[in-house]
Amino acid sequence: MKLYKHGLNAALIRGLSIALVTTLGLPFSAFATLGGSLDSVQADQAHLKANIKTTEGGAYTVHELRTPTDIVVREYVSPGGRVFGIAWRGPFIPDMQQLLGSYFRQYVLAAKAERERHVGRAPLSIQQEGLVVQTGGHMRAYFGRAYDPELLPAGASPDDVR
Amino acid sequence: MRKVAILIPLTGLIFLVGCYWGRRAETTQPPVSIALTPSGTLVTGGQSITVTANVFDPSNQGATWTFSPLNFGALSNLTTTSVTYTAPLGFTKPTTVTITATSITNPLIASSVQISVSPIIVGLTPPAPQTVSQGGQAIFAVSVANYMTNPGVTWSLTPASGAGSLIDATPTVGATYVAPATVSAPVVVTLTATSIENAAATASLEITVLPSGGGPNVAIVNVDGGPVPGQTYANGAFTTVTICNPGSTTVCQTVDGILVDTGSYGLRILQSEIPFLKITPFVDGNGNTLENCASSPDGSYLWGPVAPFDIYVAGEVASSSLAQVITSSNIVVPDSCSNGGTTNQNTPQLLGANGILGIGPEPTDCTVAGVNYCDGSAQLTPPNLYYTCPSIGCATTDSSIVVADNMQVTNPVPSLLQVINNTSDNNGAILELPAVSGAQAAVTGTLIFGIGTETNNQLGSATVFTLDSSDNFTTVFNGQNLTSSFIDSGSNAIYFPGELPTCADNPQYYCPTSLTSLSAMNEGATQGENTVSFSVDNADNLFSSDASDAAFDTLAGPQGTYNSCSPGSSSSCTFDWGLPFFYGRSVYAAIDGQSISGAPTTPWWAY
Repeated sequence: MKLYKHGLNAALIRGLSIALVTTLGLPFSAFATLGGSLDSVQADQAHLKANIKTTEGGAYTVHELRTPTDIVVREYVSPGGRVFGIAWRGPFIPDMQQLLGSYFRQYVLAAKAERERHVGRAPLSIQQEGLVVQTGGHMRAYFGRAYDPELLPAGASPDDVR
Repeated sequence: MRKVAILIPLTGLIFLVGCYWGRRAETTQPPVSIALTPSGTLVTGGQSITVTANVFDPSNQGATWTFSPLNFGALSNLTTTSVTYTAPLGFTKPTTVTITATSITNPLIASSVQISVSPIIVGLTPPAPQTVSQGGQAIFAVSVANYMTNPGVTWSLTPASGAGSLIDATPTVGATYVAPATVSAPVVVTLTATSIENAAATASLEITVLPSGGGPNVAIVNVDGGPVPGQTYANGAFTTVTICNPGSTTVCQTVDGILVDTGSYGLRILQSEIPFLKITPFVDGNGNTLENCASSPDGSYLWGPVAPFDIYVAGEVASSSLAQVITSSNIVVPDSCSNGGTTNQNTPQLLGANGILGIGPEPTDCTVAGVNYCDGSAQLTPPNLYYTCPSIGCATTDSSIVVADNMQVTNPVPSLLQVINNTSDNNGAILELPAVSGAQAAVTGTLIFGIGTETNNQLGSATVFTLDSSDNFTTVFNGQNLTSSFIDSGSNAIYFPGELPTCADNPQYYCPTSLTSLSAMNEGATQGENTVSFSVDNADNLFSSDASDAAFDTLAGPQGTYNSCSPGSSSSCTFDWGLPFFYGRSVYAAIDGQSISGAPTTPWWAY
């Protein structure tokens, strides 16, 4: 490690050392993806070493993951083993590409189109065939949810993804 | 310039060839070459420098002289071995002058030196636009950099009469502005200090005289559509800041179009708006710079280095305050910041602003409710906020790092001191906007620093709403208990889960068939309760009635899904009180860690 300017070297060096340890030991971003399989949720459990809570219901199963940075992600899995919805909240925005998977591009284009229509800062509300995304919040308190209406299993409603 | 660039390598080539020949046949004449001194010198306007040529020329004819840019200064005392260059007066940008000596014996041989010419710079302190109440005064100091003989200035006001006067005006110390005894509406006057040595060197700022409530802790805020021509930013509150190199009162840039955002923390300024400032980010011995990522829930982000500046706003300064400089070029950003495809809002057009002044209730951009998530104190996994990157840029795979709190992008408010007397107005801020009736082209309000620190920022009868561990409170609306609600001047509208229809043309907004009156109740986490009446109009009609309208009192849109919030829900539990909530109100944001006499423990909102 080399010294840093501004007389704050020790702090950053300590920080860098911690960062090195944690990034090797605890991969951060590994969620199941919307439309993905149950296997990806189970793989995440071991991967994240996160506090995981699984709630089985008649219509679907909810897997709740809490990351070390206090992001809570709920993954909704149909009886057929597919992730049909994801909800999150916490001080940071989770990796949307990880969460949305093959839906990520559709999300990016819709968000871009909305910002081009109205410059400014606003929550996001994407209502498209095959993808609903609602996000909002303020710095250090974000939330959102995404689901594919076409993947909702029998007995589940959009409001269940929460 | 191109000619010089070609000739210099030629000189080297001939010299090398000469050496070779010299070894073979010692009788060969030495080649012609020219060495100039001095090089890299810095001069100021009107100053002279003599350049000397050592011409290695068997026929001893010496050199002729040229310089560029054309007509920028003059050459005198020309001889075959020296010349005097005199920098011009009357320029305002630092300029590099190239002086070239060309061999008379062999005109293909030339040599150049570069001289840096600095303009006279006049600096006012405080340098940012000011407000003053009728009959009040504002004191300014002046400093002049790079002068030759006369460090003085003359003072002037525009308009020269009817908009106050100057007293105690001296050439080298400062002046005091005295406002008119009474004004019925805000009056704007421009104060200018002009260098006596060089009338092209000036410093000026706007002073707004208010009927009441002005002062060194008060900045003007305009809801005027924003700084980008041809683009209307709906419901954006913009102010002006002056950003200086740390410790300098002359190397400064005043930037308008800065969005006042109570929903974020820290100044974020577009690199393109501060081209004359020296950006000194945290850099390690390997040349890696500390970079900051600010993600938004709308699928965009801001990326750029953390650097200290003296941030002036109104008559206040936050010295060596850490800001994010949003990198203007489209460099590689780590995937964990960009998510591998979201948008970097790194132009005024994309951002709709020249920068964002985050003055919400937290001290840095990585803190909430006393927990700092980035410094390793609460947990060891760094969130996607800070990175170190080599000068060539980051790699997409780079990981975020842990960073101490005194290296994080900082809310400048807790650092604010009044320039004239070092009084602290640093425990929070108040954003006050006039009432808006439907839609208007522009309104002007004030951003007041400090709560209970001056006569113009008393809490008075405002209700305080304490916050939960996410800096939220509860809004009860239409039977919904919206437990993650907040006030955010950076939101374009009021956003909530409602039953109103969304618009056909603008589906992000509500379009009731007619103006609809609603009410909601805000409840603080531990105290504070108040019912708010508000109205929602048809946004398609609002936007289509007059394209120049920028202030909309009745603009609202959906946030989540109506009646879908239940205990433990992540979404649809938020009422986002955006900028329309500020119209006709004074809204107080008290910052975590600060204390306000006679008020609850911070953080809180009050109105």
